[in-house]
Amino acid sequence: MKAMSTRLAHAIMVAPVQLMLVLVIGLPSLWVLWLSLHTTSFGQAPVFVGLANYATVLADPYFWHALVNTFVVVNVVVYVELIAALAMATLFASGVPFRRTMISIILAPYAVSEVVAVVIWKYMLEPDVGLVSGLIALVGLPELAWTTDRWSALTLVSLLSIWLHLPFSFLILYSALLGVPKELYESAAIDGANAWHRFVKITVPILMPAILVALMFRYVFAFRLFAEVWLLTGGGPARQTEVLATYLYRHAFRYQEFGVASAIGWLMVVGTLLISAVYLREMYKRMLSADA
Amino acid sequence: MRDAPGRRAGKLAALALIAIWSGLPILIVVLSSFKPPREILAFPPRILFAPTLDNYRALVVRWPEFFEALQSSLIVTTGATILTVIVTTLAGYVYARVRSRKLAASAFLMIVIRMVPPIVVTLPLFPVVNWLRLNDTHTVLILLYATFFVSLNTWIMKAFIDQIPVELEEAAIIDGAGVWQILRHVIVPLAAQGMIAASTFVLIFSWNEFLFAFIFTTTEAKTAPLILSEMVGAVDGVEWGVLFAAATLQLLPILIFVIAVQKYVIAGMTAGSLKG
Amino acid sequence: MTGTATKLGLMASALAMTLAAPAIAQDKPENLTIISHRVHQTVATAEGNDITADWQEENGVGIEWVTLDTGALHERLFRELQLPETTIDIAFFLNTHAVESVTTLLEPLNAHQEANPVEEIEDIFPGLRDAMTFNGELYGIPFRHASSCFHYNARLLEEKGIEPPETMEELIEAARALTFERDDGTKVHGFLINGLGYANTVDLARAWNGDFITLDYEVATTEEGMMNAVQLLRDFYEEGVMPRNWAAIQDEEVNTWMQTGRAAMTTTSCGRNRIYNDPEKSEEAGNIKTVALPVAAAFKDQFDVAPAKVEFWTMVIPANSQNKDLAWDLVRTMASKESTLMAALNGNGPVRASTYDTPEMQEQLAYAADEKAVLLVGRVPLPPFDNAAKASDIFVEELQAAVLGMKPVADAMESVKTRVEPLLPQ
Repeated sequence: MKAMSTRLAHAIMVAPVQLMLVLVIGLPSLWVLWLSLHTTSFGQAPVFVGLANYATVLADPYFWHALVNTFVVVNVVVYVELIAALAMATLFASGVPFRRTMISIILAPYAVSEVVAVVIWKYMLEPDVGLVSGLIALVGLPELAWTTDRWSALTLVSLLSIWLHLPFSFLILYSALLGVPKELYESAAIDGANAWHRFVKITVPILMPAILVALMFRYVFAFRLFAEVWLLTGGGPARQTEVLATYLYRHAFRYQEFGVASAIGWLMVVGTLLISAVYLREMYKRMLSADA
Repeated sequence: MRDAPGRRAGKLAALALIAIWSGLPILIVVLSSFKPPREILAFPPRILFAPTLDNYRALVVRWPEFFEALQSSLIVTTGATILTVIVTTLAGYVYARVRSRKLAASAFLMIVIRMVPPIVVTLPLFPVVNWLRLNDTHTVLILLYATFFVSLNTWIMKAFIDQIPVELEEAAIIDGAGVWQILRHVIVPLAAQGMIAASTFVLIFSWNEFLFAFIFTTTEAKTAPLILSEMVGAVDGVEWGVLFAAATLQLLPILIFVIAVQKYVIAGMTAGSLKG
Repeated sequence: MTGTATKLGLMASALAMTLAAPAIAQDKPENLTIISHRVHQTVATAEGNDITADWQEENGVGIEWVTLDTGALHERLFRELQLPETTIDIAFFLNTHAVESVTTLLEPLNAHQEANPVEEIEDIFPGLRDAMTFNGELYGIPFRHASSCFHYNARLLEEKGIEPPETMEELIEAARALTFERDDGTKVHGFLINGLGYANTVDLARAWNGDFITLDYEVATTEEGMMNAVQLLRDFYEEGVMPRNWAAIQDEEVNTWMQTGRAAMTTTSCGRNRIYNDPEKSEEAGNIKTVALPVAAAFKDQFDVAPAKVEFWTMVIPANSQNKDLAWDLVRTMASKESTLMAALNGNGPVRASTYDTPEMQEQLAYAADEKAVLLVGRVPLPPFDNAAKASDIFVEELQAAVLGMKPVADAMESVKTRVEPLLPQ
């Protein structure tokens, strides 16, 4: 009797989270899947077209262009962030002056909205008058031609994205690192391991779960990259910097081609799952099968 | 442990770089908001200037809707955070304490669903939200923001509750406590730091979110980032001063909050440590 | 789907009860919601010259303005028009979207005009009214025309000893001469237009009577006019007459460049003159002169001034809105002779012929005569059709590629032709 009511209580406790996810994200996603098999626009009855929308998207060179851009930016952003966050976390764990203040400063960009971040970076890179463009010129480097050149623009998008999200990766890795028992290091030090050795042999393996969490969430977040590109370059110049989310937005809300947009949406979902499949499996094993 | 002087200098240099990278852009915005408009576009930037509140005055006069939007942001953020904390503490507890195939599957599904990019669900949600007459309400944003964070937060809460010794609960059960009493008297007090840590993520997201707010609000529930983006596109020329003043006002409360809770966030996440 | 939606509804309404104040039903709404570009709000409600103030007071109804960019505005509006019910009461609507298929979504206005007429509606330019009339039924009341003028910084011209240009050729020469470095190291660019739109490039093409898409739906990008315009922009870009970040400079940012004296000349709506010379916002207040865009020398015998673009905006009432009669009453108030003049003095392009003849207009707006001259010969930059958004995106994409030197101008314009032709109505 008691077990029954406890089980019921548990079910009730899990229900809100599951319901929210299913109703707000799950079912609408399935609806998008259905839409992706139809051709429809506002005020038109949907007509079943099979996989025609997918064929349209896959035959569009702009889709592949957007895919390549997304792929490059996501990987650059995620791994640069990971390495920087790991280095910073190790630095902080080894003891630094002004620790509290410095952590506040590191976390600060995380509080900045994408809109404000774009404004800041645009302002700093304004030709002739911007601080960063001025500094670049002073040092004698070639200007970051983000308004004219695809890779420069994507570099800026990546920088902006790293700036905004580095605190998140740092936070996860640093707090995980603080949890590493001191004794481990001490025994390693007695064994005569040097700092790099300790890092590779002890820190990284212990941090692995946290690294996986950070990686997976950053992949998921980076893959949907929208506001940075939309507000900074709008996909330009000449659609050179389009990413998948802006490509979807263009078809959905500018051209009102919902079938095509839905197909893009599902391709994005599948892409996210593929990218994170390895991590997902690892997570699944670690978090759910283990009897902790 | 004392560092050798060379090492210390290296560390200080690294710290200086980190501080410039993270802090300088924000400092520029805040400082520029106190500059007379004409000095904002001066290069090299003037570090010494007579601070003025003109930009803030102009903001009050020309963009009264910005302050309504801030209020809207506050309501939405508070709502989404409270909702998320409540439901994820409940779910996190179950995932931490109970092992079953069904639960494992549901937890996994939770992560998978969370993979769906937000822009994908905007397509079908727009007509549904309108049909429910929830367009342009705080409710719809609260529900959306919370939903996109329940996965991460359940996860954090689970990891955190894992650290609370089961013996404490067993003692409570012997005293005749039911599930709800255990939650209230054992888990919640001990998981408070974790709750603060977890809530920080949804709170910051809700305060800054752009896409959903752009699509689902018209006037009443418009949030501050929307007004900021309108200012960027204002037809009579971008007024950097006013824009920076607004950005500063939007930024400072959340910045102060992050600084205030950083101790809890780090301590909470260390204890939870996300190691599963 | 319904079952799910109901569940979601129950959940959400439970939340709503705790979070939202209860809505009070009433006959007269507290506010009417207008969705528009910000420029419409600015010209309608300028301080001390608010054309809606009296109406609000008389009716005890406020006005809520929702302002968006041109693209976002129509995206939003079309989404709202599809719903069973919308909270939008009045929308501002650009000529490019005035296609017949949209009329099913808009309130027909003949009956309203019959019952509660707009003052002297015949005075409103017939061409603008006709564009929103389908099968004898009127669907929108014109509010604004945005005709392009040529704006130049007279102070800079004087500094360099240059006479205001009278032909396109002189303008080009002036633009080159006005590109220089100031003593403090900042650069002045001789000429600048919006790098993310098509309308102002069409303006330049009009100096040779060129076009993007003609009124009878022919793509004209490979003909002399447009080729000249795009080649000119390419040259300007290469020579540094236009700034390096041209392709990221939006319409609104051009204003900032003019206000700070970093750009010496531009082509955009005549009404921007007010913003350029606003002492509160502009460092160049009083220096910016606005005249009709000069035509190329070879076309001097055909045109006095270039037939620059004339865009126009009408006020429409969504068929699914809630307060149609009240909305109409506000529309007719905003379209009255007095309102039209007040808005014009705020920088609006007036849609009534009579407004140009008023002494206030002639005294206060130095460019009024030039604007009227443009209005007489100008035409829309893009005729209305369903795929207009897609076509304009293609044009902008190829234009940027050509100007930035990613491909030859001729190739880019040829590519526009091939890609846009299938999108045009047959």
